[in-house]
Amino acid sequence: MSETPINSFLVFVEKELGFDESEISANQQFRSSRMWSSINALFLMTRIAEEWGVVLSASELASCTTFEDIYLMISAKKDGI
Amino acid sequence: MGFSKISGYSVEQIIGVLAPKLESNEMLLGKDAALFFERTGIRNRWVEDGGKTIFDYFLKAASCSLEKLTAPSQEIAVLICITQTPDIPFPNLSNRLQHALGLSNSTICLDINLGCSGYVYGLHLCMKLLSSTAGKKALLLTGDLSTAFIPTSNTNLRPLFSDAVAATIVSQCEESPSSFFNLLSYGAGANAIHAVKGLDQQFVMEMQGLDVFNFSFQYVAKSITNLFGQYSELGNKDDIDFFVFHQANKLIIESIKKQLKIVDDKLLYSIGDYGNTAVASIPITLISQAKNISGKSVVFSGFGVGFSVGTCALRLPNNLRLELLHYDD
Repeated sequence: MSETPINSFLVFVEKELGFDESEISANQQFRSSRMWSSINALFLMTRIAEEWGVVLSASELASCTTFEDIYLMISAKKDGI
Repeated sequence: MGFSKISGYSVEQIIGVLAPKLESNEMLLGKDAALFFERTGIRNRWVEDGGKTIFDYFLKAASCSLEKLTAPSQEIAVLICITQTPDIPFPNLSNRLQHALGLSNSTICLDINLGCSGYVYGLHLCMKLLSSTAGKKALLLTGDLSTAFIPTSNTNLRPLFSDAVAATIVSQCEESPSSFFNLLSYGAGANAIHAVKGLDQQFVMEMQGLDVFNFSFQYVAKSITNLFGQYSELGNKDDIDFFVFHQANKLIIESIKKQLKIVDDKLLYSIGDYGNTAVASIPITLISQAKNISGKSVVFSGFGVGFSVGTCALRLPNNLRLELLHYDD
């Protein structure tokens, strides 16, 4: 996976949630991925907050469909990650 | 400003009472229990399913607490009950318990509806009320029977909570170092944890875990940093012996630990085998995990429903009495 910001974010998600390498993609609907659950969602948001200092509200996460949506939401709050 | 400094009062003893029935998350979640434990740190919990009420639990904890006093009816000047799970809407618990415990009619009795920040608010109120009376001691009862509001079918919330209470005696102690408080409210987060009526008209708990995390992440560590910034005599937070946070879940506690750069040895956990005991979680953690805690400096921070934050720094006495029992002991 090339070192673009979105790819770095996907690698981060894979590492934190225990996906295999390159198992997820930017336009994948994250709720249908095998590692997605309410407890893993909370864990990922916790790690994002610690890593980038950005918190997403429950309603903001609910408005996201793909991993790219989450990335763009974080980027908008952080002015690019 | 929510800052406050109070001198001349100390925590004398803490008695914890846990519900008698063990409910493991393995029983509830099956194979998902391992991941749940890895993320939240919670393995086992204790639940009340025999019909006992918060009045019964407070009476048990208070009776155990008062039995070591020589003349409770003369010594206890203040009785405060903090819970969000009262057995009946009124009359309040503290008046009924004043009578049941045989305390004086001049006891100042108060019930407070407050969640996981309530222990710190309660300590603050006990000290403040004692300072305004001739009384020597205050009895603080904190606890919730939370699982009554969470059906076993709710596998998101039920695996988090336990039922427990604590009885704390706060006493006048002229040589005691000052206690420092920072009490805060972020009411914008009120819907993060709330009770709603279900189809059967019974209240059930609803929680937006992510929003709870967000409030905790943004405001709890800051409340501690600001307390040390407000009172230079507190010194550096690195000099504190132990930190005891509300036992919400491991994700939240670890994020606060990282923000404050607290070393593992100083952070007390009880969540693994006791779960989230709501407003009793700070005293339950102190009792169950503390080794050689007498005489040590501590920071408590309770946070949750409201969204409410209560943080304090104080020194425990050298002869602190701590006991943990189950309701049926």
